[in-house]
Amino acid sequence: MTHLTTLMASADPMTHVLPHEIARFGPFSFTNHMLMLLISAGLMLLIFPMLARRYTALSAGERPSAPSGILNFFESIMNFIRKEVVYPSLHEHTDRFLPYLWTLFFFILFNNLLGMIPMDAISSAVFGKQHLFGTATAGISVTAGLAVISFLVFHGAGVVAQYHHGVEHGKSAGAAFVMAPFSYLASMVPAVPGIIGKLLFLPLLVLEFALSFVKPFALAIRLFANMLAGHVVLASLLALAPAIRHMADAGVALPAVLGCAALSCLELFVAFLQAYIFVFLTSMFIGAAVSPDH
Amino acid sequence: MRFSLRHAMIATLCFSAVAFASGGGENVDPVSPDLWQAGFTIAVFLILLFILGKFAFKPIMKGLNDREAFITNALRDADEASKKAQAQLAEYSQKLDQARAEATAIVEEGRRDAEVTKRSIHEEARNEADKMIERAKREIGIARDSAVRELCDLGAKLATDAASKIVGRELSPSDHERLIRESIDEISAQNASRN
Repeated sequence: MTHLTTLMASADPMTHVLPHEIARFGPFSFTNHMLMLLISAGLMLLIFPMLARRYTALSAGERPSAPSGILNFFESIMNFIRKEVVYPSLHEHTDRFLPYLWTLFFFILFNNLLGMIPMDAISSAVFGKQHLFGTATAGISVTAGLAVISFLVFHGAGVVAQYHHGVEHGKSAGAAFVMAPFSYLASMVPAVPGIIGKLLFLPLLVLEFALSFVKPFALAIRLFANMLAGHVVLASLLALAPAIRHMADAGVALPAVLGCAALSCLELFVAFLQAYIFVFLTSMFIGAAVSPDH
Repeated sequence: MRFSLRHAMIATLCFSAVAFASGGGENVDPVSPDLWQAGFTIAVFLILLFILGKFAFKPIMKGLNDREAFITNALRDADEASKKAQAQLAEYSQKLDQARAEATAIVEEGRRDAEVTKRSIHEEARNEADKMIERAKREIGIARDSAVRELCDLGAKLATDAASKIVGRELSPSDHERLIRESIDEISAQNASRN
């Protein structure tokens, strides 16, 4: 029964979602979340180059063939991200940022989905070693890392766009380079006509500047909180089934397990939804930074 | 003691709260980020982005763009072909209508020409017939006049002959009858010899 308890739910529902050290290299600890990141990255490195080879083969002739099977599955997702999520925000800049946004989406999705597979419970049952695996996106450090990249990308894109804008409007490359960060800061403030606009410029600039930090913070917290909450609720519900066995009422275990099944379906949806939201918001932020007029 | 679903839910909540408060057994704060882990995430992501961007997403994007361009071109070609076919159909329809109108006009003209020809032939035939009738009438008149003239001449001659015969002897009624019969016979013989 100990194994069953371990398999279904730990005595503490938080243990599923917290990072656990599985190795230590000097001052650096290697956690199960890091391992999950590497597994996700490995899977992506396995899948996408294979898809690329098949794409190259399909595009080789004069008449490109339609994809099939797994390629079709991934293409439909990639095309959705490209056409429905990224293009409406980025327009002509879509292809420039698409590799980053595809990588971001699939990296989050793979981590979310891998977290749903009870690999940790299986490894506990088979090898007797706990917390080898987990849900990397349920860790704030991981989502914060991804949000930091988003922060750098959308502000970097905004500054680069202002640099090009300056060069196009007759500034020298050096002057445009120096002025680009300030132009970008100024471009963040929405245009308000008249004296009110001049009066509101500074407060709005402060607000927008603060907002530019709030945006990635919200990205990190949203993904982390959703994945954490889903797993905690699932683990708590699952914990009911073995915990109440001595209470001689199987009528509670069954609803708990059924509720877990339903919540797992919901979490499967949330796994896709959160990856979508992260990428959707990032592309919106990039779009706003690159084309502030829009 | 009966254990209801509500009790179970309360137990779960208490259980979760206690577990959360205990810090997950390892006293790890779930909301305090670890810089090393965040840095590791950034590094893994950037390496992944570099490799995938270079070796996977570039060919995939090229494949997608090529196929999109191919489909767009095929759609445009099909649209152009459809428009061309529509234009040709309209042109051919117009030509067909024109040809039909021309054919109708030609048939009408032919019918008109035939009518005119028929009328002129009729007219000519009638004129010819009238002329022939006139000619025949004239010839008949001429023949009658000449016959009358000949008859007069013959009558005069017969009268002369008869007078000479009367002068030569006295005529009895039977002579009269014989003379008349001879004259008629002579006239008949003359007519027969003329015919």
